[in-house]
Amino acid sequence: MADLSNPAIEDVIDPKDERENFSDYLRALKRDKITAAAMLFLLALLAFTVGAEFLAPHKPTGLNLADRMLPPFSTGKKGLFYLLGTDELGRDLFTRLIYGARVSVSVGLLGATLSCFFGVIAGLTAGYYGGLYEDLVMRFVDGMLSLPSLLVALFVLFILGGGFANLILVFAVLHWMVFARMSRGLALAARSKTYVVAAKAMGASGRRIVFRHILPNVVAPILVLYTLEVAILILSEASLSFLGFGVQPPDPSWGLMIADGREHIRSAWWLVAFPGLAIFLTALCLNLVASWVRAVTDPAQRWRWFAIGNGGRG
Amino acid sequence: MPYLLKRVINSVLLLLITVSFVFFACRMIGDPALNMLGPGANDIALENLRRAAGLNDPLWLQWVRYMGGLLQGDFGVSYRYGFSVIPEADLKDIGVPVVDLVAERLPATFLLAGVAMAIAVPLGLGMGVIAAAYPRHFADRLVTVLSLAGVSIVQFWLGLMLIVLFAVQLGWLPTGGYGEPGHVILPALTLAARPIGRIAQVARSAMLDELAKPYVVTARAKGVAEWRVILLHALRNAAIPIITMIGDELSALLTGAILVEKIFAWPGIGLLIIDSLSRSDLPIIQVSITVVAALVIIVNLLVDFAYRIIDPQIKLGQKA
Repeated sequence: MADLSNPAIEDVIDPKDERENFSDYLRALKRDKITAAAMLFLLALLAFTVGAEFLAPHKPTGLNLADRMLPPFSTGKKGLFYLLGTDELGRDLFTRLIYGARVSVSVGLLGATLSCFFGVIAGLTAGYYGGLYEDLVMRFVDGMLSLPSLLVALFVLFILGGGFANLILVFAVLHWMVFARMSRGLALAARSKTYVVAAKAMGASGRRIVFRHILPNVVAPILVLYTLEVAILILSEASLSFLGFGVQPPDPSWGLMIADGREHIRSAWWLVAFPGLAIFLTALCLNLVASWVRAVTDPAQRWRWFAIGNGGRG
Repeated sequence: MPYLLKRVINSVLLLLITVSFVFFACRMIGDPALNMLGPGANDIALENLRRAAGLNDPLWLQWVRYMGGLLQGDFGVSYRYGFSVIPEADLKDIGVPVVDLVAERLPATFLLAGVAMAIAVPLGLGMGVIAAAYPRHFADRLVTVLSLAGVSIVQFWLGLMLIVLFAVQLGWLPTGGYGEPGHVILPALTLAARPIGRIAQVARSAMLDELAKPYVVTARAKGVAEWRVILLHALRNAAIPIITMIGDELSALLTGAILVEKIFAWPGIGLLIIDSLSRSDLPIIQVSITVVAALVIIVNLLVDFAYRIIDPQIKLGQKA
């Protein structure tokens, strides 16, 4: 039916355009030093998360009571160097931060990915099909969005118990609505566009129109929201773990490290300062990249309000 | 009016669902009588409590009774309040009414949220307006960076860092507590960081949008002083997104206060929630969570109403 191998269509969609686009983005990135630095930071973070075993200078559980509570930039009894100091058991803080990144970043990425997946499906279909289905979905979304999500997360984790898997589950359940509300708006706007009308005229099914035609055209704003959500989830994870309802102790996470360090805050400030700084820098870089993607993919920034309206619930 | 009425009904419905959800979820995690009296309680005491509180009745009947109690201001009693750890065998003979506990904590939370907003609104607004008035200027860049930092920071960590700096190192302010004016400064600053950033961001972009509009050009051409153009003409028209953000942030503040109250030992409702969660004190958990959720829902509703007052032209109910 819809014949994509038709030479006439291939002429229109020239793959060379895509390549030029990509190098355009690179050039724009070269000009924007701050965003480039933010992207480098995030890439380095990702590398550390994946390759913690190879890149960490010490063992995460390597107890060394002789080198307890050393301040940053100090050298231990056996000549070992500790970039960010050590904790009350003599474990290297930098190494623990790298392993903590693995937990915090994967909670953020998995939670945001799951909520994005379900939210986009619900939102795009609601916006495209409309009717009673849309009404029901959007009423549910609006209701859930007007609840305080951190409080609900806290309560649900109290009932279910904390832990890595439950945390991601709770985030997915409490954050998909953000994506749903936004993609519903995007689908609503796309419904009357020529390309959708054309696809419909060619007899494409509703599912095909939503996922093959509308979705590729609205990827950019969803990507921006996704980036912001990863930042928000990393912050929420830290808060919940700090309170003892998130990731549980054997797993290291940045929020837990702050909670542990709090007991020694008077004598060893670095135990609290660096995990918090890691969260701060990660969230800051994600925010910077998000606003860059937003500016680059749409100069008119017509959908900017979506991201602003949804970016800030904690 | 139909729209506002619909919004009120929706909010009441939402509150009803939330309260019921919390009620049933609390019943899922085990025997409520055992929970109320603690693991050391003997069988006779447990059975007495079950009979007295009607815990042997079917769940739906208990739910009806609970909802009826809430409507009449009867929020249940807590037998465990005041114990620092889960009590072994001895318990208070008479439970403490939860309504008193919650009511006692609310003023502290309101005070904290109020001071934080009193810091955040003028500061965020001022920063946003200055940034929009001098686009691409150094001040604009500074505001952009500061507001991004405010949004990206971990609130409770900022609180801990402020404690290290101002309470431990410099000794200027207390590390925590309640009662004297000095106690409110650090927690309020901690809570204000995020709203400052968000209000500044929204104020800046809303003002930039307004300042590009024809009426601003007209005003300037007429020779209206620049400060009048900015403050009297543009700011008034930029008010709606800013008010929305202030409302959003106020409800975020009420939940954000949970962590900040914990860090600073500020005896508000957030600290009550955390303490009751760690003690599994279900009667208090149920009510305090309901109260905070209700406050958030009410704030959201008020923001919607505020639209009407600011801009009578707005057509509510046509959000699509």
